[in-house]
Amino acid sequence: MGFRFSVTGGNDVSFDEYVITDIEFISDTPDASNARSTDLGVMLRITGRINFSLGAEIEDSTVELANWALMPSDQADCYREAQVQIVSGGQIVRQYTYPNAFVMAYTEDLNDEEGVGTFTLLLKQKKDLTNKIELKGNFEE
Amino acid sequence: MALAFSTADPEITLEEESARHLIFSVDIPPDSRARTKDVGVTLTVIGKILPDTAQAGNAADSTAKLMEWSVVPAEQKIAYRSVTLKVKSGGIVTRQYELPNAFIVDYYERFGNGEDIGEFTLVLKQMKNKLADVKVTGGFTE
Repeated sequence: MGFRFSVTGGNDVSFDEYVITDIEFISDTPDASNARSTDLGVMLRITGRINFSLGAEIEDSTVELANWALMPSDQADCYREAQVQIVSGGQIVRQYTYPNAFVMAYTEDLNDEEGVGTFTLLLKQKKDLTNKIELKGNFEE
Repeated sequence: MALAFSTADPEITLEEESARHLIFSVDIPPDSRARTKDVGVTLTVIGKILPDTAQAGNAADSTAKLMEWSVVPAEQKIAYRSVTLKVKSGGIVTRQYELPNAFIVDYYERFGNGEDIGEFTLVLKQMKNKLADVKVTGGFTE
């Protein structure tokens, strides 16, 4: 099972199967609700590796994720379109598209034991535009 | 992978064998409905406190300077320092984190008689009104 992740609407970056290791789709309403709540938030948690290229030949796109996370809220491109594809055996098992995603949390973790670092990015669709997200699955590549 | 930690004004340069693990994180409140101004940038560094058996009496590493920094009162200018942390792999700088107005949120040291070296944990934050000055770069040769 492979994961592809792309961000457009700022400095466009995309990541392939060699970078992304885990994907979580989260839809969340308040836990104390008496009935189905309109306060629905949808998030995506993306975990991957911070690979470095030998001789710095290829630009490391994960830096752009860090810069996106640091971007102030008054700038237009702090909202970007994010798309995740989950691919297995020539089939797109899931395709999540968030047209107005912003960064809730971003973490980079590096140590002297593993050789490469890891990052975790938590994205949320702007809450009043939750119905603009596109969730698809089980179609051919 | 080697981690090079340094501060400027006053200067602290940790030996590259000291720092072992770093966590850089950017957070906004988890219940936000949209992107907020309330952004926090945290840098956590975990490393070793090494004894010097060759030259007793000499400082073996610079971690004692972190300890001194951790008790500086907030009224003093040197409570805020410019911090640079470089991650080096295969001859290139994979990541360089620059927090020009960092202060210590937490600092711990732990020692046990089993390991014979100590461990420190340093939690830094960039001063919140100067978040725009934080820089993350990477993928260049030194």
